[in-house]
Amino acid sequence: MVTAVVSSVAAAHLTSYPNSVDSSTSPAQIRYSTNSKYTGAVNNAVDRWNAESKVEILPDAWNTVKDLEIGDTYSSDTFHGRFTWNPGADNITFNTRILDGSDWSYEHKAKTALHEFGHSLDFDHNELDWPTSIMRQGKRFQEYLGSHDKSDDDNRWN
Amino acid sequence: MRSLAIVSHSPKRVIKLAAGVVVGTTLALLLQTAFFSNPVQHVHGVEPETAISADFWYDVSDPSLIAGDSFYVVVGRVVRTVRVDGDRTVFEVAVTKELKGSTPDSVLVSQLGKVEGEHSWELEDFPLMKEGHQYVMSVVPPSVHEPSDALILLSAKGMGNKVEVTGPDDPLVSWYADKVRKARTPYPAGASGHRERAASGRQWQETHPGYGSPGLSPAV
Repeated sequence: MVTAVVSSVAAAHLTSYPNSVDSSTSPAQIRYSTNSKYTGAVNNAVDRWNAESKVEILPDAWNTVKDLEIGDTYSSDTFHGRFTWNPGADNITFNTRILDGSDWSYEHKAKTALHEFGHSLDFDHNELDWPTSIMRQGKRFQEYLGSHDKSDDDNRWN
Repeated sequence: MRSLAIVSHSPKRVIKLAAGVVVGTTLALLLQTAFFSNPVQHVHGVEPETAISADFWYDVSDPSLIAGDSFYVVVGRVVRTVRVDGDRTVFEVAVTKELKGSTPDSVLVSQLGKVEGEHSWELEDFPLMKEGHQYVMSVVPPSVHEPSDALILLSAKGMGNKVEVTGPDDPLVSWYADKVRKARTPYPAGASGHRERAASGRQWQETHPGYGSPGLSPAV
């Protein structure tokens, strides 16, 4: 199913993996819970993607099925954020060792959250120039979506 | 006060009340399940395919940066898979050559990713090491926040780390040794991450005999 989507939307950078979107609801939704301490960055990502996408990103509730869990870890590894596809709810994980660094501002954390939510919406990494896409990897001072992110979202979900 | 009076003067009434609460709660739960629960299930396109996508804060395809962020760079043969430790797999590795720092002949190395039952988790472009294969590995000791007896294989892309070789005499090892000589830190000068990393390494060396390292490349 995912392969078919990739071939039909040539302009979009989509993952070859499943995503967190529950397409059986109308509109499609991602129900998430968070215990991350980066509340501002997470809320910014939710607001920015909700403003752009027809997929609704909403908190999990007692009568919904959770699609995404957001949390923090301390890791000596090289990532500052990561997205994990799971058989159940997927995970966004922030690396506090990096994000709490003295050289990391709010905008850097905001970019990380926007990027990881992008994965949950089916978007893959790309090598486009800043600020065209939030899906380029790396440390970046950017709290908003790029023009390419918006066109990818239009192609994929709108 | 009212409930105390009931207990002391009318035990039958207390039993009736308790039974009513139980029945009422059960009915409420049944009603919730029947009429209000969202029947939607978490939908994945392809299950159980799973993967990990990481956002790296520096260019992890550059072996000089990885080496600069490492305490030890070794050539090692994966002897066996020891265990799954959280989201990482721990391997026993026989060290056949040291390119940075010194280690015991046998070390434990953990890599992000795991296989559990019918599911597997692997970092994109960074598949799990295979038993019997040899790799150049850039590793760091675990910090006090992640207590473990295994060194941490730094996740990377391309030729950045975990490059497979035929053995210590493979030309790629010489190429990598040159990258280690040119190692530079990814941290900006004065970054707290650099200080934390250096402190973790010092502590590891003080508490683990057989390990010695020049440490991280200096911040510039």
